[in-house]
Amino acid sequence: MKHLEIRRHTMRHKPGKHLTQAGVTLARHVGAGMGPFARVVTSDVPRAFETAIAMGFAVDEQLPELAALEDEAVTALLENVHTFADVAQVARRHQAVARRARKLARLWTTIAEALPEEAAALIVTHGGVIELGVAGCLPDHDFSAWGALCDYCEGVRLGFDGRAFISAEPLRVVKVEGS
Amino acid sequence: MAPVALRNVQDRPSDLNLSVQADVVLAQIPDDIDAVRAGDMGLARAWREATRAVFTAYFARGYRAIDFIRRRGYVLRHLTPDS
Repeated sequence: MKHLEIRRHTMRHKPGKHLTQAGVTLARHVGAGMGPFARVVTSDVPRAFETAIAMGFAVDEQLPELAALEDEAVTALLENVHTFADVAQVARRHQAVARRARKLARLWTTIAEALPEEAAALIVTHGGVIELGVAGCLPDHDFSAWGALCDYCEGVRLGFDGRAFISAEPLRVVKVEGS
Repeated sequence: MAPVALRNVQDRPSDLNLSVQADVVLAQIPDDIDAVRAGDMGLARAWREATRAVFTAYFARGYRAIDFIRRRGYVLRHLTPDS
């Protein structure tokens, strides 16, 4: 089995591009319990790259496709969702959202296929992208017990059997002092 | 100033040094990587490869990124297991 660990970036100086010190502390705390990873991929946005670095992992590749939902209609449809189950439901009801979900799933499948057996990859990306990508990878999954959308450094661990994603678990973060 | 493992010289990666021995090491980056990426993808790739080399080498030696300083770069500190 291969695995993808997909995490949201940590906190940044808004509207600036770079991480806050609390963001670095949180990413270091979370990163200490992660890995090893055969491949590390982030979006091309500095806060995603910097999160991987703060977690303790050098970045192999930066992909702009991981940076955003790409489509204003998709962004609008996902504006008022609060849970993984909400995102999955919107993806089932709206073609544009389903297409974006499938596109993310294809990208993640490509990353998983390129991994050696029993290896894992880390993907650092953004809120919305994670939840939609998971809905694309597991379109029939029941997300009712998964709870809220990903907070900073939270994410999902997906199992890949060489052909498809067959397992998934949400990765939650217990906040540390200073984060 | 801390010793430097990677310098930013006029937005180009320079003076890559993977064997600095110090508690704190600086890895400089471009002031605006988005502008570099927009103007020269080859140069942006060179930056990613240089930073990957720095972080791979220093993380393996027990360093961790402890701060990101605008216009200065990443601050790497050598950590003990308890720190």
